[in-house]
Amino acid sequence: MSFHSRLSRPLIALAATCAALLCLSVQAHHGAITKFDPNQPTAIEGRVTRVDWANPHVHLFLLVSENGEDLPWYVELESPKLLELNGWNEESVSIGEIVRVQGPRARDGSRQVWGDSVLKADGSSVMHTERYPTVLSSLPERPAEATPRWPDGKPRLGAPPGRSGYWIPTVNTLQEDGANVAMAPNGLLENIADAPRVAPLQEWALRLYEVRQRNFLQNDPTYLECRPPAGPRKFLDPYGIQLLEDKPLERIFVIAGGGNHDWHLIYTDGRALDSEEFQLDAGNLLYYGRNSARWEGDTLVIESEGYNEKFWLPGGLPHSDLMHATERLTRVDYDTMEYEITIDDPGTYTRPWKASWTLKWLEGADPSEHYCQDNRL
Amino acid sequence: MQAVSPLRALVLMLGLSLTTMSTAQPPLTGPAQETPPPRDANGRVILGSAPGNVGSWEGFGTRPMLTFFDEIPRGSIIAYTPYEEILAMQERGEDIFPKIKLSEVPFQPWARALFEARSRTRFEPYTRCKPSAGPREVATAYGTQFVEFPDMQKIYIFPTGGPRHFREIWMDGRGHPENLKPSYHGHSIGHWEGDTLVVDTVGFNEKMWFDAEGSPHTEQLHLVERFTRISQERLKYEVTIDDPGAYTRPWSSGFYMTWTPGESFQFVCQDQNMAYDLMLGTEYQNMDRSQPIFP
Repeated sequence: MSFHSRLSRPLIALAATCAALLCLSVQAHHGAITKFDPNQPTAIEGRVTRVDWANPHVHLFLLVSENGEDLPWYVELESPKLLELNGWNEESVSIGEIVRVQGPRARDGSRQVWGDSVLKADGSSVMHTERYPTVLSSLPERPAEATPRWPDGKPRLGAPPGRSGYWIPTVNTLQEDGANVAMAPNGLLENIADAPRVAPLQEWALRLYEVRQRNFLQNDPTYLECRPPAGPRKFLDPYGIQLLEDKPLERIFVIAGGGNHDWHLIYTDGRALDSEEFQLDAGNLLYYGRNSARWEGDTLVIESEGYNEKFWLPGGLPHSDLMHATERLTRVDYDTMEYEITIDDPGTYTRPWKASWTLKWLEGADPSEHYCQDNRL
Repeated sequence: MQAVSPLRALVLMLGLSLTTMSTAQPPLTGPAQETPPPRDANGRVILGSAPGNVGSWEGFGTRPMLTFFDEIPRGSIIAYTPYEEILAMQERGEDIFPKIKLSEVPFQPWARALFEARSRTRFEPYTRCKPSAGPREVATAYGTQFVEFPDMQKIYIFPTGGPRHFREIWMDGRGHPENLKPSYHGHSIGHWEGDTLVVDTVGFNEKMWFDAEGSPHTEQLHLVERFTRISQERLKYEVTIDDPGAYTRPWSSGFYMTWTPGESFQFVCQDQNMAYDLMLGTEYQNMDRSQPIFP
């Protein structure tokens, strides 16, 4: 495809229906489908005036010529961390160079596109990432290793001495085991009629779930105001999760790789969830609930309750403050953690239900400094 | 620059003071009220919690300043202890950390002007649930924990309050990497000098404040901090600020922090912080955001 070197190429709005060659796949990214409309595939060509290499999303500022006028357009891309993992940096595109961008346009009609594809003048593609989640696909091949253990024989949830690393989930969505409902990585259902199959929702909860889905999961409190990635969301975040075992004090510091990049505690001293030992957290409703864990063989069993209702379960699934969760973590080998959660919430679901997935180890790194708050002045 | 409406100044002051209210112990005034610090099996002082001795550190007043205000910037709304009172306490022989006087802080002219502007509005990133660094991170409301992970050869700093961020201090003898990408917490390396933990940090971004008063800095900021637990009840914190982009020479200060027994709790800045309405995307869209000096 030839390239015009002057800023004379008009804006092209492609047909709403996806013809075979022109069908643009929205990188199913949590923000993209909420903000950008796959039914408005758009192609623009313009001159780069600025590269904003910042969390949570990198932006290219373009000037695009339309009817003789230069108009500013904004191309939204993945986060700096994910782009860097794919070999890009803020010098990958230069100020002043002409690029051609294809992607869905913003739903609000503003001059923004999600950058499904960014081509330089020589036709080479830049800033592209593997299918989301990107970090997983760039995990290097590693020889198999057995589960690392503490001197007392218990599996290590973190790295053995001299090494580092953390866990990346292999999925980012929550649904009952066996439901096999098709959904985007942010939990948006491909078919809203599947809603009742995702989990055993009570009637009111199903209605609420459908409302959130029909609104493209906008106004999710976790993203809107950078609240903690509560409940199982922390085990589904593409930026990962890290578990630091403070053995002498019988507690585990849980580091959230994404969201607001915060920490909370899981106690392993056997305290009951309604114990006054939780002190200021006792009797309160919390984002992470109160967490107490015990080992059953090689499986860490975490019981939690005392959740507030100021967050959504992943994909907009509702819950109430009656929710009690049981999470089971088993590190079956050095690189693999099996995770299972049982949600028992008689206020929202007709019965307890289970979901399970695997997390893979990212060796030699710690979670990067990603803050949702960078999106907020 | 827009003047701050008195009402908003009041909201900010209340917000800051409410976020910094805590169950801090009254300041101790001498060895008679203090007990020896806990030591580990190797005889070194334990900076943080130990089994049966769980707690966290809060600076006196939970928002300790780095300077004595012997002069007040024009229009400043910073709460401070009058300098005469400091002198009187020193006369009485009270154990006051010998901080630098504001008049002696070697600001470059642009940094002094920025400091004075910030003192009029107190638009601190921390109250907008952004991470902080250095002294501001180490002494925040609701307590700070220092947690050693010997297997990882790291020490973590976990503040309970604020955005519930954390800092990692590498203790394995490594140096600072080349081409550090600026970050809120920078890159910290530490070593022990006897019972003092010495931490060297570079690689800060300019999106945070390293003290609550808004002392300016640039990406050239290099902090050297010294943590010494002098008793079970008290920790001495010393810091040297070396930033040739903002100051004409390095300067030093510090403060004491008081031990508070008890467990931490789940604080969420976006919920409990009175000034979270300063964040965009919340219901408080009628806040005056025309402040041109930012952060």
